[in-house]
Amino acid sequence: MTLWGNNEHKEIVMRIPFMSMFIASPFEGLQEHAEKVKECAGVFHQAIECIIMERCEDFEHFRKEIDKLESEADAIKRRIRGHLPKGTLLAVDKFQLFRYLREQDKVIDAVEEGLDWISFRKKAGIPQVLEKDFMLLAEAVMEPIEELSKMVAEARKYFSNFSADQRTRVKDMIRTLRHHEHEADILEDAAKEKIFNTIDDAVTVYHLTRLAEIIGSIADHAENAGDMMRAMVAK
Amino acid sequence: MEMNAEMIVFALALLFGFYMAWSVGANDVANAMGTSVGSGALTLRNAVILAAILEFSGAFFVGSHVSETVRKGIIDTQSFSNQPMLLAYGMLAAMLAAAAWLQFASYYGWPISTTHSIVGAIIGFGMVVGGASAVHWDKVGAIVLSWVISPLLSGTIAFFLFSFIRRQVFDSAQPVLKAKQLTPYLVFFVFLILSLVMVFKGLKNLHLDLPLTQALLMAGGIGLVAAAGSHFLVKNIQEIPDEAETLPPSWSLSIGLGRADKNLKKALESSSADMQLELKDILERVGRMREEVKEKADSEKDVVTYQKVERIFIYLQILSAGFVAFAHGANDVANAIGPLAAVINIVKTGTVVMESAVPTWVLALGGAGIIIGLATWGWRVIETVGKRITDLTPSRGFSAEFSAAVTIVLASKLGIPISTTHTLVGAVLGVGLARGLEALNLRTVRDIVISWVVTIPVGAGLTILFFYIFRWIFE
Repeated sequence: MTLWGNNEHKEIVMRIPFMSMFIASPFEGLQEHAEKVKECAGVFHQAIECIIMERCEDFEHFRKEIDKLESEADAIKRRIRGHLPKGTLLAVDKFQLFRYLREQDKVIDAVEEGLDWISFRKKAGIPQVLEKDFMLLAEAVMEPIEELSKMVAEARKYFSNFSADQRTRVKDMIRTLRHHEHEADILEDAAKEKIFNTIDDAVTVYHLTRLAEIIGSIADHAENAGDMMRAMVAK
Repeated sequence: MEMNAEMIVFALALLFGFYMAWSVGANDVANAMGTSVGSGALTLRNAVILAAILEFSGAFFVGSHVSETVRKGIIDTQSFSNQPMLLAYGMLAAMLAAAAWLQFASYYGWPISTTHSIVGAIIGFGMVVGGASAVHWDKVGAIVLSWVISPLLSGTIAFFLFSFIRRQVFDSAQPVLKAKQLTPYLVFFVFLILSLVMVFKGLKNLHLDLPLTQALLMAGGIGLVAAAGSHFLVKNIQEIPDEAETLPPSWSLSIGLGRADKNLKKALESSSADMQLELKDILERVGRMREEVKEKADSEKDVVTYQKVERIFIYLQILSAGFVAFAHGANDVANAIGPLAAVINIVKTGTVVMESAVPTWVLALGGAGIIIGLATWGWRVIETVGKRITDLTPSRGFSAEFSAAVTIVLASKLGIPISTTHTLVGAVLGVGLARGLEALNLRTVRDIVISWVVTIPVGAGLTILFFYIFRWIFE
């Protein structure tokens, strides 16, 4: 049929240097990773609700779920890093991209750590006086995480259309993220203050203040990711 | 016996020359046309037809400049005037060596260039048989320098062109309008350059070689006519996609929610006190939802605007792809035709007197070879490239292709054989550096640099080998 016989498809792919220079965009992976982070947030919220409201028995189920999501996100992270060989030209700085990814990944790590930390003192749970505070804090850190996946999608659009409006949109989201983080900070401080003033048992105080810090750090990492994104969309 | 050998050499030269032309058409045309097919700007069939016409035109009308260089610019053919057949064997060997090396490298996917192989092959033969003094080193130096300069030049043009488009069109408040306004200017430049190449000391075949001022006037006129045509084309095209087709889904949702809001407010006025509380709650929820949807709709509107802009660039991309095809035909046909013309001349006249131009029928043969390569193999490559390279959207594709084409026709005009593929790779990198592409593999660049270093010695070595074999067979 042709000079090369019938395995032409392979030949075609190999022959064209023009084609070999196009590689998959890391943004696709970034978006997938952000989706995993969002899923994690959902599970975390359920878990906190469960532990506070229902003193739930099935807490391990949530931990397993988070573990699964974490390892899936980890695979995506490794895939992104592995598929960016040394000589890759990106629309964004490669190190900014990696730092962004690291922060986004730390969000999941913080969620995992939070559930682990709760599980160490599962029976004690969260004292009734603090239930509302922790519920509010957990809800407050949800929003920045959800904002992340939206932000990645919008940023990617920016890199295809370079529209000024689109850039403003991404920047607005980052600002919202920062705002959410600030709110979570206030709630974290309020919760800590209440812990110290209402609980006398030192072990409980330690467990709860640390828990408040871990939950607060979820929002911190989301905010850091936002800051990295701000650097990436800089002109 | 002597006559017979000449006939065989002649037949072999035709065969190898045709193979080289076939190879040019089979492999490299995809670089220009692939992305246009991929973006849906052209159907595969139309792309092949357009490429065939333009490649042939480029080869036939402008191809002689570079062919002359390959035929007699690289080595001093006069040093073979005592033994003309040696030169014929050498050119034959050069074609075979380039073809063999091309085939070998293709198997491993190395980004070598047909042009570089043939130039290396001729240098090698000239050095061994005619001695170092038989090689026009100044010309060879200029050619080799142009291999480095051409990707750099196309890359630089592409960088500035895409940055310009980004700033002027994408980053503006009215991208669609801006794209429409910019189109005639871009079209003007494409046609100006293209017709300038054709009429300024070109088209000797048609006895149409005008001096600079006349050529400039004529090219400017053609450019203006084309620009005016494009102005109306683009203007009318925007009328076709009506709002209903391009309305983002969230918009209708947003409108619906707006109506619900209005009706609920009406209901609120005429409702009893206990119902009011519930209605207020619903109103509040609708309001929140409206806000969310509005945000989404705004974002979708941007996407639609972007699609509209890209739709305008589709026409420019088709134009630039055609421009590349033309330039490619003009430059690369020489790889096949240059050595072939040399052999034909020697066999016909028995001397190395090369004052006569490359025969028109040989140029036509080269053009035909490219078309056959395109028809038998190239269309498949175009299809593959189109499917695989989706990142090169019309605006990016236009920037890269236009820059590459300008560089290639410039080189063709100067009679310099350059690699069209490497030039296009440089142009794509330029777009990438202007942040137009999300990710590019720079290893291709490294491979290209290696191929620069490797191809000349390999081409030269193989040619020498084949030369001695031919001489042993025929004498």
